[in-house]
Amino acid sequence: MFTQDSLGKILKSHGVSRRGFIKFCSTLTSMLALHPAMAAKVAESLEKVQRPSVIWLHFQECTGCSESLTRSHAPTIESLIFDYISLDYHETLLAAAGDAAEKAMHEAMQAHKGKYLLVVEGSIPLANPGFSTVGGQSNLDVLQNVAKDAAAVIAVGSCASFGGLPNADPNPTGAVSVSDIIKDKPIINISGCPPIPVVITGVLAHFLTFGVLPELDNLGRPKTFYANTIHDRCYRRPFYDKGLFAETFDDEGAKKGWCLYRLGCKGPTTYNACATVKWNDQTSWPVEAGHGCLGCSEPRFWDGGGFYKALSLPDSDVRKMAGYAVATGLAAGAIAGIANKIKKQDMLKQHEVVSVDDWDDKS
Amino acid sequence: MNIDTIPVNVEFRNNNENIVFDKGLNIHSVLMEIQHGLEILCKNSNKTMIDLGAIPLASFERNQLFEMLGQGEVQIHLSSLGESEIYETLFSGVWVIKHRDEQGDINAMFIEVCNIPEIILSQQEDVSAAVTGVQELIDSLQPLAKLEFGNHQF
Ligand code: SF4
Ligand code: SF4
Repeated sequence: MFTQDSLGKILKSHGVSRRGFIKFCSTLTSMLALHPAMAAKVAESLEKVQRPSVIWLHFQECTGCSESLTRSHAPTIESLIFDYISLDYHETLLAAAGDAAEKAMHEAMQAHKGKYLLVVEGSIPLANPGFSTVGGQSNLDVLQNVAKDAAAVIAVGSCASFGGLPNADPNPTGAVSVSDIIKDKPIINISGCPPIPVVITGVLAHFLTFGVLPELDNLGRPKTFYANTIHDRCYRRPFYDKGLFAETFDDEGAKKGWCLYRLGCKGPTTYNACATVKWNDQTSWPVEAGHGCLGCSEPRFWDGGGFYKALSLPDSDVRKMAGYAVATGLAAGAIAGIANKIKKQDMLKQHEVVSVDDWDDKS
Repeated sequence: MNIDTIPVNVEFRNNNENIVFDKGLNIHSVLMEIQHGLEILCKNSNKTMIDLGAIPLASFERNQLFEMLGQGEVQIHLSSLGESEIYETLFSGVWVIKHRDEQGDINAMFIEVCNIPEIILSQQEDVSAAVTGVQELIDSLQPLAKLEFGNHQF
C-alpha cells in the first residue's frame, strides 16, 4: 500500500517527460497560489518527496465536501489524490467494507505512526454519542483514537472547521468542530460549504511539496487561500468603489453586472478564494453567476440573519461615515468595518429560531 | 436552457462591436503589468510571469483580454499531461500559455513576458535521455551485408 518512490520517479515511470513535469509544477504552483517563479522550487522538492498516507474520516455531515472534491477535474486531481498520496482509508471511496476497511485503517495507522495526515469531514455531536457512530464507535472516540498518532489534522468543510450546519441554532446534537476537541495536534481548517476542491487538494499538495503545513490565519485556515476577502478580489469591486449597486436581481444594475452588496452579498466579511480560483473548472463563481456571496467559509454563517439582507450600511451612509471618520480621526474603512461587525453581531442576536413545530404551525 | 441564453449583458462593447475599454476595470491593471514586464525585458532581458488564475478577472474579462492581445506569428502545441496552447500575441515578447489536463479542461493560464517561454526549450534531462534513445536507434539498424535490395545481394 505504501511506496517509497518519489513523485518525480512515479511520473517518470508513467512516461512523463521533464517538460511535462515542468507543466505539472507550473499548474501546481498556480493552484497553490504561489508566484509563478516558484515553479522551479516546487519541481525541485517534488522530485524528492514520498507519498504521505492519508486517513479520511466522515462524521456528522452531508459528504458534500468529498463530492466537491471528487466531482472536480481540478489539476490532475485524480492523479494527485489516487496516485501521489496514499489514501489509505476513506469511508465513501473505499472499495473494502466492514472489518477489511477497519483493518486497512489500523494497518495504515501502525505503518505510518506519527506521520499520516488525518482528514476529517463533518462535526462531532457531543449531546449524545449515539447521534453519529461508525461501526458502533462514537465520532468522538474515533476522532480521539485516530488523531492520537497523526502528524496533523485537516478539518475539511465548515462543519469540521466550525461546527457548520449541525451547529446552527439551536444545535440539537451539540455539534462541535475538530479544534474544540483536539488540542495537541496542528489543525488546518479548510472551511467552506463546501470548500473549493482546489483548496482541499492545494493543502494536500502543499504538504506533499514542502513536507510542512501552510501558514494559517487566526481561524486556522491556510493563508494562501483565505488571506483576502471575497470583496478584495471581486471583479465587481470597481462598481462597488463607484457606488454602482444592483437593487434587485433583474434591474438594469444587475444586467450591467454591478455590485451585489445591497442584495446581501457577504463578500466584504468573507475570507475565501472563490473570486480568483472560481468553481466548476474555473468556469465561474457565485458572484459572477449573479448571486451574492453567502459567507459560507465563515463561522456561524447559517445564523447570520438572512442571505439577502445587506450586511452593512448603503453607500450614502458610507459617505456620511467618512464625515464621522474625519471627526474621530479614524479611517472611513475602519468605521465601515466596525459598522459591519456590529451589524453582523446584531443579526446573530436577532436570528429567529425556527423549530419543526413552528414549521408545522406555519404550513 | 443554455447559459448563453440568459439575457445578461456584461461585455463592454460599443455599437460597432468594438471592445469598450474602461480604464477603471480589471483589464487595465493586467495591461499595465504587461507593459511593465515589457519594459523590464527591454532593459535587462528578465522575464515576467503573470498567473491569470491569481488575478480578479471574470471569465468574460479574460476572454476580452485575449481578444485585445490577439495572436501573432508563432503558435505552439504541446502534448504532455494533456494539451497546452502556447502562442505569441500581436505584441512581440508577450506570450499566452494555456495548460489543459488530460480531460481537455484548462487548469492554468499564464501570460509570460519573455523572448521564449521556458517550457518550449528542450530540457537537459530529456536531451540526455535522447542521447541513449538515438544510440538505441543506431544499434537497432541491420548490418549492411544482410540487407537485400532487389536482386542484388550484398
Ligand atoms: S459583489 Fe460582493 S464581493 Fe463583489 S464587490 Fe460587491 S459586495 Fe464586494
Ligand atoms: S462565494 Fe461566498 S458563499 Fe459562495 S462559495 Fe464562495 S465563500 Fe461560499
